[in-house]
Parts: sequence; structure tokens; C-alpha cells
Amino acid sequence: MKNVMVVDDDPGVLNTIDLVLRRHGYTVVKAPNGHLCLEHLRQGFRGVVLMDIMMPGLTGWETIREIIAANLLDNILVCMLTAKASPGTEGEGLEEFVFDYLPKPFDNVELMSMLDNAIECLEP
Amino acid sequence: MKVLITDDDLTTRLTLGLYLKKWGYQVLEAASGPEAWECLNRPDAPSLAIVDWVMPGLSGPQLCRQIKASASVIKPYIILLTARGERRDIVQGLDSGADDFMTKPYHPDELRARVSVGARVIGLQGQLFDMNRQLEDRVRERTREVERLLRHKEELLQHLSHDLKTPLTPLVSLLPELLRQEADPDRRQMLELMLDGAHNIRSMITRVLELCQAGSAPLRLNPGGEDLRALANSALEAFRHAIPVGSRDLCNEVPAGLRVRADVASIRQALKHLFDNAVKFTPDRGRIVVRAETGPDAVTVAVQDDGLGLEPHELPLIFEPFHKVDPSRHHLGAPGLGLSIVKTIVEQHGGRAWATSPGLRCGAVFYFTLPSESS
Repeated sequence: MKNVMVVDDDPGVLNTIDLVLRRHGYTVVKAPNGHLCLEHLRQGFRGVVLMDIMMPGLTGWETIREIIAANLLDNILVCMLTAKASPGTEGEGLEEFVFDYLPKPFDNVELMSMLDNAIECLEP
Repeated sequence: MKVLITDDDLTTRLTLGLYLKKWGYQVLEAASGPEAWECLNRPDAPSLAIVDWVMPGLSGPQLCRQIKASASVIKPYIILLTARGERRDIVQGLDSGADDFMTKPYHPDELRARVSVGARVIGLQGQLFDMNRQLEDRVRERTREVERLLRHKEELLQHLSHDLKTPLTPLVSLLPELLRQEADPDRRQMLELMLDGAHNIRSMITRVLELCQAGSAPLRLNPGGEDLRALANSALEAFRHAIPVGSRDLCNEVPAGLRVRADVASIRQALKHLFDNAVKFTPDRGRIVVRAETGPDAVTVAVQDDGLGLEPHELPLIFEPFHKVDPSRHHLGAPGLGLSIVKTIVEQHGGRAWATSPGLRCGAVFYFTLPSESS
């Protein structure tokens, strides 16, 4: 199953990725913030989590820390969406929990090839 | 105001001292040239000195020359007071650095008048000095302000470009989806134009951010330097994917064994922009060559193309941000930032960047220098 959870506070980005991915056969779960992402994980989401770094409330990195603390990493891979040229220092020490990074704005081909790689790793 | 009387004759010192005290001056005395020199170099030194010509140790003119040659910013006003009164004595005394000259025997009124001229000059000198210092303070203050504003402008530009990336995401992502399913040629063309626009905005934002960031991070330099040929090769290889296969001939003619002191990531970025620039202005099947030669303390790297070329008056301007050679090049999609990024990176390495061209349609060569590892 091509399951993707998109975590982004920007409705434009969130709905865009939802539209594009659904049209290409993915099943998409939308989470407009880190707390809802954690909620979906507790309810048993399995798949790729595509997470924005800069979000109000819980940032992407803080959300990853919560995921680790709640022991919810087992059935997911995390990819980070970033508007910055480099991922920055805020996530130092958390790199090993990130499968890949994608700078905004991205091409759909790049997005889907990253997601497909992650999905393949998740369920070989 | 403090006045120093320098004379080896006690009577002269006493008489002069009496007059000067009567006129309201604070009096110090020195019986020889070296004693006067020592007194004039104290932190709270007198600002006017009456100096005799013939003295043991150091003569009046010798003392004057020593004072004028000293490094102190404000020098004392010197009146030579001597029994010598020939014209050549006056000339020699003034030439040695004295500000005024009086002959013994002197008339007290004349001495009073000349000392007060000295006091006036010292006052003006002090005012000038203060004004200068105030001006320097103001220049420093304004410079700090300008630097602060420049930093602010850069941060603003950086934030703006950064924030524009998120709203650009739907355009870059959704337009290709619509295009994929559109059969009508006119509507396809409309969508393609919109998508081109979105891609151009994206490339501009990326370059503005690159320019803001270039030169701000400290250079990562490896001891022993970097092999320039390998560095050029990796930049060329990364770039080859970005252009249609076989469209341009990209050659690396950097000699083997050249080592430069360079931050690999930033010099690769600089080379990428130079290749990008060369490809943009070189027709299909053109040839782009990167070469290098070593000088006394720097290595000069050159990226040569046989493309559009430049007119001589354009050459100094092309490294300025947002500069475009002429409006007809707008269609080439260059936001005019690549060469500014190159310049910033190269200058951070302590090198410089420039270009030469024999003229329009004659190609161009873009150069930059890097410190060689041995230097």
C-alpha cells in the first residue's frame, strides 16, 4: 500500500500534495500540525510521513522527538520537507531518523521518487 | 595655559617667568634642551615653549626638529628667543620647525603679543582636533548604521525569498498535473507559460538565497588544500546532467597536480554558476573549457566559452547583482545573480573575479583567483 501522511501547516501545500498523490494512486492522510500527526500514528498509521520542518506549535523536529518518545517509529519512515537550502542545526542528532529531505518547491517527479524509495524500504 | 621656558641662563628664565605669570600663564622651566624635551613629552605637557638658541646638550633648532619629527598628534607652539638676529638665523630657526622667532633683548609688550598669538593658534588647533575627532566618531557611527541596515536588508531578502517558496509549491506541483491531462493545444500552451513563470520565480528565489548565504558561512578548508583538476571535474560532472546530452562540449583542461586552498562546496558552486553562465550564452555545439595556471602566489582559473561575448564597457558591470547585459538577453532566463555569487565566494577566499571578451559574438573568458596551497 502506498500510504503517505502529509504534515504541513500550510493548507496550500497540504492540499497540493494530497491532490497530486491521490491522482497517482497513493492513499493520503493529512495532518495540519504535529499533534494530529502523533494522533494518526497512535491510531495505527503505517507508511511514509512527509513532514514540514517549520511549523507553529510542534516543529517537524519536535514532532520527531515526540514520535521517538512515544515509541511510534516502528511502521513508518520520515521524509522532511524544507523551505531552507539546508536542514539547519535544529535537528542535530535526529538525522538518523530521517529517510530523506525534499526542498520546497519540489517537482512531483522528485516527490514521488523519494516516496517510492521510502515505501520500498518500508515493505520490501 | 602652560608655557615652558627653556634657557640655560637663570636670570632670563626668572625674568621671563615673572612676565608670563603676570599675564596669567602657568610657567614651567627647563635649563637645557634634553630637560625641555623630557618636559614636552609628559602626559600633561605645556602647549607653548619659549626656546633659547644656544643651550647645552641640545640647541634650540635641534630641539625644534626633534619635536616636529615626533609622532605626537598635537605639537607645542615654539617661539625661538635668541640673541641671534641675522636674517639667515631667522630663516634657519623657522625652517627647523619653530613657529615664531624673537630676538634678545626683547620688549615685554612684543613678547606678550607674540605669546598670545601662539595661544590663539593653539586654541584653533585644539578646536580643529576636536572637530576632527567628532567627525571620525560620526563616520564610525554612520558606518555602523549602514552596516546594520545592509544586514537588515539581507535578512529581509532572505526571509522574503524563503517565505515565497511555500506558496510557490502549489504552482510548481499542480500545473504539471493539469498539463498532463490537457489535450487542447491552446490550453496546453497557457499552462506551459504559467509553469515556465513558476519555474523562473523558483530559480530566482534560489539564487537570491544563494547570494545571501554566499560568504556568510566560514570556509571549510582542508590542510594540504584541494586538487583543482578533481574539483573542476566534479563540478563539470554535476553540471553535465543539467544540459541536453551532446549540446555543448565541456572540457576540463586544468593541469594535474595544482593544489588550491578552497572550500570544496563553495568553489564547486562558483564553477557551476560559471558553467551555467557559459552555457546560457553559448549556442548549441559550442565549446566550454575550464583551465588554470599557477602564478607567484595564486592560481588563476578560467572558464572560456565561444558564445555571445561582451562589449568592453559591460565587463566591469557583469559581477554586480541583478545586472543584465542588455534587455535582449531576458529571454535567456538569467536573473543576473550567478556572477555576483561567484564574486562573493571568490572574495571570501581572498581572490578576485573578472572577465575578458574580444567583443560581441567572439566568446568570453571568466577568471578567478584562488590562493595556491604553497603560498
